[in-house]
Amino acid sequence: MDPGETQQIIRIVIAEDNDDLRALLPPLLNDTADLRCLATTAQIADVAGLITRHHADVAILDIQLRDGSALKYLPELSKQFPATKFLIHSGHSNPDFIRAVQAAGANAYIRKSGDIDDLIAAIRGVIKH
Amino acid sequence: MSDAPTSLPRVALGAVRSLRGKLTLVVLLTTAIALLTMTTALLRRDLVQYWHSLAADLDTEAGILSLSLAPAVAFDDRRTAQRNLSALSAKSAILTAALYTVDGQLYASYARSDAQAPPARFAAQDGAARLADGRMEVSRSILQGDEKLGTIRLTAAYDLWEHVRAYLRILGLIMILSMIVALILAARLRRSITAPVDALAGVAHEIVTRGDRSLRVPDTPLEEFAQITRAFNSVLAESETNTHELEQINRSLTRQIEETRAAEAARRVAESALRQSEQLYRAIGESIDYGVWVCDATGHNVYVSDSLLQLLGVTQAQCSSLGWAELLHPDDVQATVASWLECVRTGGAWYREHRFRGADGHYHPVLAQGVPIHNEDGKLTGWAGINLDISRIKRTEEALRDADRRKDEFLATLAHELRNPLAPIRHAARLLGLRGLDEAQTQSARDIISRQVARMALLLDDLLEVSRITRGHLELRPEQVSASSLVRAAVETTRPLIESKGHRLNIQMPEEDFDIIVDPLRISQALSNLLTNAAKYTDPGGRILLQLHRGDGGVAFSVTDSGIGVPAAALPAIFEMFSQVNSAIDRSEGGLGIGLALVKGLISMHGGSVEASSEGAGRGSTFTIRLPASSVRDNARIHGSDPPQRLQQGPRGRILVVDDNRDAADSLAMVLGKAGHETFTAYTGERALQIGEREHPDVIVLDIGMPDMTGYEAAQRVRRTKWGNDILLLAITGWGQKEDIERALKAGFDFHMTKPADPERVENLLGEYLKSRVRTGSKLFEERRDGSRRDSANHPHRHRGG
Amino acid sequence: MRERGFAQAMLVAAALCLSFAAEPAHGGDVYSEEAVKAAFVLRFSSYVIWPEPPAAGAAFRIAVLGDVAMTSRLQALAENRRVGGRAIEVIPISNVSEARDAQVLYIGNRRSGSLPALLRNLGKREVLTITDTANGLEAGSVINFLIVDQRVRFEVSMEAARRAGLRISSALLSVAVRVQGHGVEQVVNGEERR
Repeated sequence: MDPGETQQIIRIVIAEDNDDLRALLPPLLNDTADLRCLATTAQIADVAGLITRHHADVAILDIQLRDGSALKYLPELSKQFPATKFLIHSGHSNPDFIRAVQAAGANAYIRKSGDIDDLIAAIRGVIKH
Repeated sequence: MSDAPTSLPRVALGAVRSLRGKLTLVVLLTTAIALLTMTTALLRRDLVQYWHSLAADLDTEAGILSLSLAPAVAFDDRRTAQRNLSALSAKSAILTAALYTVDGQLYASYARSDAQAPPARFAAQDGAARLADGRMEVSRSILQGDEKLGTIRLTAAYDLWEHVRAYLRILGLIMILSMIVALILAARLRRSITAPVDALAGVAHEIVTRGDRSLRVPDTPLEEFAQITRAFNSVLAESETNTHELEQINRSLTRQIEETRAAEAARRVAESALRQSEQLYRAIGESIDYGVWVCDATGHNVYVSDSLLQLLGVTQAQCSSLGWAELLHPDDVQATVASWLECVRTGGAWYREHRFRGADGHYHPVLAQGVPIHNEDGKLTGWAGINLDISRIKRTEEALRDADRRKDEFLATLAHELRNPLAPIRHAARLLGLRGLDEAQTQSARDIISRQVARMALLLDDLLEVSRITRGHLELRPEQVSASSLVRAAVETTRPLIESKGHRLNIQMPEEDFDIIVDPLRISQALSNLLTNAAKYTDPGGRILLQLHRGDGGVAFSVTDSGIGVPAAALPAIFEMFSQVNSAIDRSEGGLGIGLALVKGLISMHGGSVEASSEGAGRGSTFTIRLPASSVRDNARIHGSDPPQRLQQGPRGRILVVDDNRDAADSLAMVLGKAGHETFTAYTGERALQIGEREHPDVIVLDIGMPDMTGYEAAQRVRRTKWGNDILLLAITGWGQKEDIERALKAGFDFHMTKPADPERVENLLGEYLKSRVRTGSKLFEERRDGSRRDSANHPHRHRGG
Repeated sequence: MRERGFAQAMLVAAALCLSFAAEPAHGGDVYSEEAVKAAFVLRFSSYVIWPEPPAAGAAFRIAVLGDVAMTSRLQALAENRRVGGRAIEVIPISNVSEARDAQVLYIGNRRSGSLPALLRNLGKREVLTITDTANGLEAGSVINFLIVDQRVRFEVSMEAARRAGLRISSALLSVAVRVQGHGVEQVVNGEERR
């Protein structure tokens, strides 16, 4: 990170149905200087509303939520929020799956098995592009 | 007159049968015919001559008379005329003489004394003599020159019959004489003819009756017979020779026939062997479902076994040539036929999988194998092969693939699920490293770690359990516990989850509690699994009904939810290891999809069953655990009689039958099993110990004489185990002596029975034992056992008292 | 053959009957004395043998002297008859000398006195002389008619026959009433015959 640069706050909303993970991610992300997790939800249906309300720059979506598949909603969401980057957070590692995800309009894909740092880097990365 | 005698002889000849007779008859007949003919001719001639002479006489007389009377008539001298006529009396032959005038009037007459007078009138006839009134009559005209003066009529006696009779008398005499002479001659002739014939006949007869071909016919002077005799003799000589030859030929023929027969017999044996071999091969062919087939050198089918014809529901004609290709699966036809034709072309072996359309309409996969057949010259004569039914293999393959797939899925899921808790743990740990955490956050992080670790542990435990179950390494620890207590334990375990989802739990249990003999941990684990599933797969605010009831002598736990239900298609496989109904939900709750498999495994180990039912997706489901009657124990009852339903059958137990005689073991086990007991069989002592350890039977029926270890040994080892210490041990032996019984009891057996084992007695003993165990624990029985041991004779003792 | 014979007989009988019927002059009785005598005359011829055979083709002559009735009768009978195959000629003569060519001379019942002279005049001629008078034979005829028992009979003179050179059949003699000059006279009524 460039020290001289004014740090843009990246506004993040998270959709994750695992309660524990949902509880852990915000503080971890918020520990960084540039990332702010503003809202979390367990329902994909809430995502659109949250993005709007918090002006999210990034939406981290778990692939399969209780009320639906992120993939299904993704194309709509990405159309609706062209400025917002969508990052799929999933346990799968199937390459075909990854391709499908990208084809659906995801900007990035990150596996859950990784460290928090990977997630942070991915978020920053997706913003840059 | 000459015709009559000749047909009669023919008849007569026909009637006589012997040569002798015929000869005699011929001679006689010849003589008779000759005589008759001659007689007839002579007689005729004689009669004619008689007539003629008489007529001539008469005529002459008439002539003379006419001459002599002419003048008398001419000159009308009646007296003279009369006188002349009267002179005829000298001629006795003349009957009447009459002189008539020209106008036919009688002029003068003469009649012999006995003769009738001539008629008064007479019409002149011609001069020829004629027969009138049995007399010869001659009339003549008396002429003078050309002038007729009158007529003279003479009659004479014409005694034909007298003449004939006289003649015949002579003839008769002559004939008799001739016949006699003829007979004599015939006899002599006959002898000369019949003698050689008789000789011939005699020799022939002798030859026929005695079979002696060395006989010969004696010579005979008769030329014809001599020829016959010579011919006969030469025939006999030849026949003698021929006989020898024939005998030789006969002998050689007999030999040949015997050889042929032997060859024939050998051939038949060979044929029979061939037939048997053929039958064997045919049977083998028929025993193969999809049968045996034979094709000719051009690759056209010529034979298909009946078993295949039946399976495919076609006739041989329909299979012949390339007809069988019609029965292939449409997708296989082209390739298979092409491949076959190629095989035919190259003369190679045939090995191909394809599908046949069976008579049932389904397609059956077969593996067709065939080999080319060559004759002695190495020329290809066709193919012979079999079709193997590989449907089971295919199914197995598919099942394996399926299982493999599921396993892969499971592994993926497992990996996924195991990883799931890792992220929170990692993140929580990371969090804990952050500065500026408050207490709440710290605690939260720790909780998260604990929770996730616990979840992982659970997951891993479940996995290990399932693994152990499938590998048969899980050990049950049965105890007698109250069924309701199990229910309560399971409910406690799952209460948090149920409450968290806001479900309403309803528990139904019978009023009277009862015990069951199970591994309590496992049963409650199974129950909790079911409850957990019910909670998981029901939307919040649902209803869960947990029932415990007794029925069919056993016990059933059922869990009914109002959740997402199970689609009918998924029902059959629901208890399988890696099936998942709704992977999303399960995964989100951290499940592996092995819960039901675990339940099924645990319950099966208890000898029970578990079943699932659902009306379909979204309509809830019911899972029922059933445990057999043998698990059920009533609570101890001191007074009172047993409930009626239990009197129908005695208490059920788990019986292990051990006998190296498999039939004996199996049959006893079967009888006992039919009576409702749970039975196990072992054919060796070692195996018995294994099964006993695993199944914890209530009673072991042990055959003493077994190969690997004696029953005594086995009993001792059983007694040394925890599970076998108290159980009922029954010895079965072939001997019933007092020493044997003592020995058995000393080895640790409770009772002793002689072979064959009586199932009823086993049942009775078992029943008594079980009852006593429930009521009083095992100890009393132990004491009793000690006490009763000493009193035992040949009979197994019955439990007394109580 | 019988039929033919019979027919023949009948014809002959018929002819005979007719021939007899053809003599109306003498009334109904065919067997009148003259008729019988005429018949006898002709019949005698069959029993007499003349010494010289007749010339070929010559007729058999019967001369009748002085009996017209006999002549006509004889002529009637002679019409269809033959003697020895010869036709019969009946010649009425008035003189004995005219009888020389005849084989038979019939002298009717006439003067008996002149008869012997007549016959002598005939000489040695071979003529069968037949008379019908008493003592005719003594007169020198060969055959003389008699009536015996109302039947026409005759007598024969062998002497006369000899003289005339004629031979007489014994058959004729047997039916003669009397045969003179044969040595023994035959008596008619007797049964002795020669």
